[in-house]
Amino acid sequence: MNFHPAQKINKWWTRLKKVVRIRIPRRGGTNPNAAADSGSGGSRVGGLRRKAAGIWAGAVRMVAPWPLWRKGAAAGGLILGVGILVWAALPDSEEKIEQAVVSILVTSQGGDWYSPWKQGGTVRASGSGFVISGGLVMTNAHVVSDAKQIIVHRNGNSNPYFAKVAFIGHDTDLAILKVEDESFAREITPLDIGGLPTLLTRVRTYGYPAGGEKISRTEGVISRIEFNAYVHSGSDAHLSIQTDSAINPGNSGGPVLQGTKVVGVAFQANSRLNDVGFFIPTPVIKRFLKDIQDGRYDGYGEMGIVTSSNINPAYREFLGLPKDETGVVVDRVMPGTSGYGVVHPDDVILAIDGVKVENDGTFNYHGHSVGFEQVAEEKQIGEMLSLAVWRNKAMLDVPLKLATYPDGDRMANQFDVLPRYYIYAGLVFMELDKEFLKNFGNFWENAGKSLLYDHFFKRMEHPEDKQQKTVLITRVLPHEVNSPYMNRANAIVDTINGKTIEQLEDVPEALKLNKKEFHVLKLGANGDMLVLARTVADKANGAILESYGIRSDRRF
Amino acid sequence: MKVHLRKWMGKTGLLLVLAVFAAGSAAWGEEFRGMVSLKTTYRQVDTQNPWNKRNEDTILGNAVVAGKGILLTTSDMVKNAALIQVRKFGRYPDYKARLLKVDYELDMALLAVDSPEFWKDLQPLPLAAKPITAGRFVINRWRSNGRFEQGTGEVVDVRISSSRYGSMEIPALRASTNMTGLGWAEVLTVNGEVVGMVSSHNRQEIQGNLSPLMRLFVEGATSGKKTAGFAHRGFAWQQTNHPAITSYLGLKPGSPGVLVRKVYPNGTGAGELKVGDILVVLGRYYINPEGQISHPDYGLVQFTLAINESLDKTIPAVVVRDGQIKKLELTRKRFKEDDYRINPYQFDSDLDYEVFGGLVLQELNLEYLRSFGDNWQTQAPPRLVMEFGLNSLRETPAVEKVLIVSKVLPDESILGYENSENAMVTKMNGIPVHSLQGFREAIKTPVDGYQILETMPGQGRAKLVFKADQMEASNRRVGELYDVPFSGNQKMENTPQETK
Repeated sequence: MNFHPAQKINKWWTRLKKVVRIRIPRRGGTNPNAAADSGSGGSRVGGLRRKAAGIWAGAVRMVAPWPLWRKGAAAGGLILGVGILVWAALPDSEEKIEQAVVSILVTSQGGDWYSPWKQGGTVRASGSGFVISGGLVMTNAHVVSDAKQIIVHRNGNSNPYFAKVAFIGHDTDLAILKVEDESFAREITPLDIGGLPTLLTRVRTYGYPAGGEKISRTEGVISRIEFNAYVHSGSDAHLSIQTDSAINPGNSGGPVLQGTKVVGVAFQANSRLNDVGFFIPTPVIKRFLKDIQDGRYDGYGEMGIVTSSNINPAYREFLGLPKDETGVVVDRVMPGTSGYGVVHPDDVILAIDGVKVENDGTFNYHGHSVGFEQVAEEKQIGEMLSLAVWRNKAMLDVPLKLATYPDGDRMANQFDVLPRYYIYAGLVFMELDKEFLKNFGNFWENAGKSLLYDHFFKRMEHPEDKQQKTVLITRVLPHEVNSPYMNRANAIVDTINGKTIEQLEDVPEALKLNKKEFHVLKLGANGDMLVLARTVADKANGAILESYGIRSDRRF
Repeated sequence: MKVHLRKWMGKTGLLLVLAVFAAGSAAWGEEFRGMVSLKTTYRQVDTQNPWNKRNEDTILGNAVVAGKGILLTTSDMVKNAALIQVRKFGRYPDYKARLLKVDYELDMALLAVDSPEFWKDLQPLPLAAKPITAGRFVINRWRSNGRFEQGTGEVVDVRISSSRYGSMEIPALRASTNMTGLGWAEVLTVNGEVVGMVSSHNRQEIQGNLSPLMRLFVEGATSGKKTAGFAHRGFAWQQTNHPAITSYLGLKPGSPGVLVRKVYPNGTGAGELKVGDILVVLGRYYINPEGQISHPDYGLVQFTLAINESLDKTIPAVVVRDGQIKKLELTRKRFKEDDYRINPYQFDSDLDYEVFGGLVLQELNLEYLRSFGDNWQTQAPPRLVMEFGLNSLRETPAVEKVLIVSKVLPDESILGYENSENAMVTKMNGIPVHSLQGFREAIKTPVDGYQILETMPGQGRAKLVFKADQMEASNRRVGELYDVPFSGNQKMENTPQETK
């Protein structure tokens, strides 16, 4: 589910600040505390062995008076049972699990949204991952985002294995790596993906968190299963599971298991809460794996339906909703989403794909109360949903075809892409997006109210507005041709030579088509005017690019 | 010869000592005779709970004797005043002062004291006719312990800016000082003349009013002549200092003037200037392409200073319109309360509000935003802060305010609507509403027995529905439970006007 940050900018901002991704930034070298982590798995297995010995002694005492044939049969059964137990659950399976858990060392380099013609600095960081079927490695998207080099290390094996990103889903914070050396996965038993665990059951988290070099295992219980913000993209919310199993920086991408089955991928923690970590549950993982079966990751379809609870008696009466009927009220539908024009404000969603929706918008999902969006979450783009809707005091079935939500990218953190820009006469044009706003640091209000309003609220409040993307002058590279216009940085471009600017590509086109003596740019809502002498600006353009070491005037 | 030399040296030395003393006394004179301490007990409206006033509090500051029987201080010192008292020479008794006039946009207030005894031994301090634009000055203040204290400050610059409340552009002094705890109408003097008054203090920087404006304010209030008062600029402008824009506008290189790019419904120039005009002259001054005038006292300063150089009804202007020079007489106008969509100063009066079910509705004002704390720009609801920053001024002919649900008082009628706090109201019963007055009109026409309130997208739920026939009971219930006067929605006297 893609959420619009403007909906609850306050709460979400606070929330996003609290929840952090958990890969470790690295400077290289070894950690002197590495040995401190060893042996914890051994002591657990040792305890179980002692218990097994006690049970064995009790059983021998019990069977002593039995006849020989009975003793023989019991002994055979016991040997078989113990064998199965040992094979399936204890030291051997533990070893297999740990073999499948890998550490991932990544060197990444992202774009520079302030000087968009340049690349940013390189960063080394590490995370965890695990081998799944086909010898592929599953990890978090944020572990391998903007990766220039990925090295995978097997547990207890110092050989570096180079890997490439095969699939990445920034919205789900999941990625699949393909290791170049085919011998990598030999001797490793891939981990199987299990089901959705239940509340208060125990889980084990594996990975390579900070504080040591060797594999770490922690254990805890599941305390919550609900929709939560996925901070990697900064604009998505999906099902996630909260646990008190320690999830620390470096655990990112590591498996969370029950028995021998993966029930989740560790991905984020909350720095303001004690002993709280979050992992991506199997419904999200399985949907991701299904999505990439066609060789491409398409992401989620977006219903775009914003709902409110349906508990107010006057409102229910106003809608003519029968007393025994439950469902959630549609407040509005975001333009450009699958639901726009299909579902309407004041519709009541009674059921989705035959599943009854409660008045607070939840439904029973494997015994958990979860938002009805989860039904859509498990579908792929292009698949149909069937909504039972109460509209105009009657019930009707509304089919809804899931489609992507292009505007979502503007609201999300960007990875594995470089910023789009165009430079003319020292004016740097870019589209307004979240990455650009990050130039202003944590306190976006420094970006100015005009930009923030445009980014968060304008399209929501004025869906009829044609200008779907906002182009702005992000910088003015000083030159005599633009010297009085230095204060126009961060100004929104409304028109150029009379043409409304709806996307970055419109800028060079509007400049190219103009054959008059001047280029006239109208900025912002107040009609601020920026005028350039066309021939002078054309001549200056090349010199400005050269003097600032800019190889290309554009990246579209 | 030796005797003569000794005599000469003796006389010179004596003269030198006298000169130093004289210089010293010029800087550190008897300002205390022209200044009094001020104690204001005030009660502020609780904008979060608009039916309440906060507990009374007291502030201490200064006022200057600005003429016969009048005291001048900052408006900050008298806002929401329940009782204003003054004390001379740091000694009892305290005398009750009367507010003659307050102007929050200028940050000035005039007081009168009826007791003749109070004025005995007090001497007016002359207000300097010319502004201080450089150099050092003396900062004078009465302390709470009855001591008169002086320190020094130095001018950093003078710039045209808006006061803390409102959007009027006036020249303001920026200066540095090592004194602490300023910002309570301390009086700035040079050679016994008042050159300014401190309005705010942050670390080692003070901001203050300048004496020419203070003189104008006092004259306007005391001369008995009917004046147009202080005025706002009613248009937006931009520089024409780029050769390309000069050429594009058909001007010769270096031609004076700025481009008028927007005209508001009110303010100086509204209805007279046109978008696209090149404003060349305002008052007595040519405007350079950067938008500055060469002023005999202020030097190079933003041209909007000219709007408030006098309190005349009109100000002459010259524009280039469609290539022709045109002389205009611009009417000097002040923004009224209705010219603001969001009231920048909500003082001295009760707040208007409406309790509707459990919803408390009021018109957004700056004091409401400030109630979120010193860092209200980041702590107050972002959409409301943006509205104040971007759309504070009315730009439409019709009166328009920003109506918000400022509070939700839980009641059975608003079950499920609890997250509607700080939502901006757009419609009531299908009718667009932009004010409490509009809201009160709209609730008279329920739709099929329902009262339907709609809010701006993204701010809580989009629509809130109530049963019309249950509203009275609901209002009564909320009123009794939360001790809110449910009929407390009368329009009170508001005071964004200049004169109290």
